[in-house]
Amino acid sequence: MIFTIYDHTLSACITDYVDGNMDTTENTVFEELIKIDKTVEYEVGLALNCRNMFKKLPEIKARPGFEERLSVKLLMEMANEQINKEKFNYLASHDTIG
Amino acid sequence: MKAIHVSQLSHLSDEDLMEKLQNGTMPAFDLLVSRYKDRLHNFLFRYTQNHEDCEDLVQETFLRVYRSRDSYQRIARFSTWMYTIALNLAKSMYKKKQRMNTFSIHADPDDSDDREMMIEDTNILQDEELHQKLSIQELEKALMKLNEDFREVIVLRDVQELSYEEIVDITGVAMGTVKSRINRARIQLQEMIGEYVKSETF
Repeated sequence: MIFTIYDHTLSACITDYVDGNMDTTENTVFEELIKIDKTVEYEVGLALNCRNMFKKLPEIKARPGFEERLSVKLLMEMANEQINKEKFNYLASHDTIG
Repeated sequence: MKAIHVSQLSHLSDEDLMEKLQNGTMPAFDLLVSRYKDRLHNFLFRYTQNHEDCEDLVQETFLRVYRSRDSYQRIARFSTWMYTIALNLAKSMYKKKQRMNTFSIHADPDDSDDREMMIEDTNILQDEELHQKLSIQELEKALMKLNEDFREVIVLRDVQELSYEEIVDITGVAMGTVKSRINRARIQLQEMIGEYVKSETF
């Protein structure tokens, strides 16, 4: 069973430490805490492992022809916009005449 | 939409391109698509685990960017605005799939159909490459099981590598909560992955 820290502030500090967002002083103080608190040490280890593992996730890219497929939908979108615009103008002009 | 126009715009920022698009310069949209299509795929795939659904979401995100171009204001970064659209679409699709109960990744782990994906004996993982591959599969599966609030921050942070400030803007959640959720998400993921991921492997 893994012990989980639910302390909001401590949890946020672990993220800052793991992501390297602490300044030198904060970093030193936090590393002292890691030395004396096994639970914090353990959770920092888990968070670091997880972060490193994400770096190994394969990058997903758009499949070939994506832009062409999007263009087809975009043209339909533009055509709809044009139709709506013309409808609006037609109705507006008739309203003015009437 | 001639290539020469795109190259003429390539030095512009995303926000400048949006301004051009608002003024009717369509190549500006093409350039935004070219800049963000891969990043959006990489982001939205973590919600779909399926290339077709992922592409549908990316296309819909870009279509909404186009449709809503006049409502974009420069006070927000373009990427933040676009990721907010993408995240909302992903969440809607995810909820819809859950309701339809067709999201196979969420299947019951006790279901016999899913058992073949679970490795019972780590001794068979002698090859380090295979071990890493399986660990990554476990990570992908675990990611889909995470609570939605946790998944969105961890994907934005560890997959998209966005700053905390951008994540705050996209999710509308306070900075402290974002950081706390990131940590809890990382720990929960490791908890789910369990024995397969040994620290010395990574």
